[in-house]
Amino acid sequence: MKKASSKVADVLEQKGDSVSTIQPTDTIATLSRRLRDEQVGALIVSADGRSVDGIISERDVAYALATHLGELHSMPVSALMTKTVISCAPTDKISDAAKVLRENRIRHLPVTDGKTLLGVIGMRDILIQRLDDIRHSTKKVTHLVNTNA
Amino acid sequence: MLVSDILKSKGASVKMIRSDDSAMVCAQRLSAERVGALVVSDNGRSLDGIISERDIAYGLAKHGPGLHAVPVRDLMTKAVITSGPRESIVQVMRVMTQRRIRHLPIVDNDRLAGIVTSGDVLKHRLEEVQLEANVLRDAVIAAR
Repeated sequence: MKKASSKVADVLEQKGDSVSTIQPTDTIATLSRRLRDEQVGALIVSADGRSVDGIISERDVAYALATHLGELHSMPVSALMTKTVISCAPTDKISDAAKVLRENRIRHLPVTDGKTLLGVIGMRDILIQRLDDIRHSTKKVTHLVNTNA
Repeated sequence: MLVSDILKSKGASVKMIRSDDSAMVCAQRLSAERVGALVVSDNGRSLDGIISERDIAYGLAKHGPGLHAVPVRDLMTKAVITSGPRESIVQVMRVMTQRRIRHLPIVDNDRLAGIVTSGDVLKHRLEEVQLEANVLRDAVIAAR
């Protein structure tokens, strides 16, 4: 039986707990290759792989091209990253995480346990979770209909 | 819930760019309009392609310091996945998650009728949850 309200931890469990991070001193050229090769829209910036020093997304790279032109590829990640990072806890409800994404117009939320990075939950994960929920309830209803027929 | 419900609340306006505009112009437009993607159209009606923040970010990996001068046509996605106004939102969610896309131009009778984003879908879902909660609350109150 599925729980009524899924938690952030449930999504992390499904995704696996490997978190990909990038160093603040890495270049934007390195970042763009990593985004492409790992098929992600954002990376957590962390000097030690555990703390959340910032977050940097495709959006940060795209918007910065307008002002930095030919310099963009050699700039350090630290120059463009968002430093005040909005995060969530593994015990938060998915629906609350979704609200935070919506209200802040962001697509990625680092999941932290106090100070330590546990994972990232994105808009795509939330939509996948929702599709899963729909599949489960459809199955349940189908079962009910069949057993009562 | 249908795509047309989303379009009703957000409108049919679609931000466009020309295929011979540069990546720099595209970046300026994305940033100024605060959007994640632009429809590429040379005559303002046809759907020639779509270009997103992702295409610019990946483009940097390929073109390096010359990226800002590269024309949109060399960076855009030409085989655009679209949807129709009568498609269900659940189906749109499926397409977005499976194809890893965030922007779905909506085509109605060969005409561009709007664009639906993953953010729109999420917003709609949150409103649905709120509605369900209100209905349940009213039912509980009524049953007392």
